[in-house]
Amino acid sequence: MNLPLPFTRGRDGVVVEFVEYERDVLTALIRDLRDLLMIDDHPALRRVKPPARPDDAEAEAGYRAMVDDDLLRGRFELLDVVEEGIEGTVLDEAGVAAWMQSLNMIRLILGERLSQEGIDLESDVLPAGPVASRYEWLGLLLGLLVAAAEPDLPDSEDQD
Amino acid sequence: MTAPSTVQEPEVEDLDDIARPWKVLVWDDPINLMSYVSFVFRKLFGYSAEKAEQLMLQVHHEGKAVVSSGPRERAEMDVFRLHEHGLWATMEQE
Repeated sequence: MNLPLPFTRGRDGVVVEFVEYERDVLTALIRDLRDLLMIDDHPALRRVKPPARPDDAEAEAGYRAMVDDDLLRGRFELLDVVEEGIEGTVLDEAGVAAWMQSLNMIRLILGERLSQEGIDLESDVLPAGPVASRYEWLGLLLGLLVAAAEPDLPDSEDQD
Repeated sequence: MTAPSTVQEPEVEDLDDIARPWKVLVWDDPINLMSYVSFVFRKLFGYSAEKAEQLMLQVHHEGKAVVSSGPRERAEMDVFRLHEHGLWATMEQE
């Protein structure tokens, strides 16, 4: 049985097409992420809220006060876009950004969880289990999405 | 004879920003895909594919790379956008 690639380049943008099982897994992951985002200072979120000013606690507190609400609100908005397109859609630039950032966010959290269990993510073999398999699957998805979206990036001069 | 125009004195902070711009660093991590990091550098900063790959490899091999430099407000915005994309970014004054 040939499964369709989830992300491919179409004439009007990046085409999203998941089979039912994949949609179910993704829907569950997004639901779990929404629940997690509601818990302030959860250890699993450490990786998606890294410090901007680790050298200066006061500056870091100021930065967090300035951005955390916007960061959180933006993440929920991105997940809304993903959920709207899970049954199949064609992504414009904003849609690509929403999917890319959302998939990466979920993957970061799963990866952080594996790291906290003492797993070396840079080794070739991850242990069997749902967290590792979803982590690897999301890596494949992200790679496919980057490849599908990359031709839309403008050629630009080096910014030196 | 015309009256002298008002001269706006630059803020001390502005002068400090010019003398010591803020640099934005991206740090290596074992999770983010290399292709994704390059994509983000191209998307956020308009770098060419070659420049983005060079910076990404610098992050990967040396542990960090400076991806932008400028006034504090711009550095804060760059860090915020990089964090939105899941990259580990920090800012510091040169």
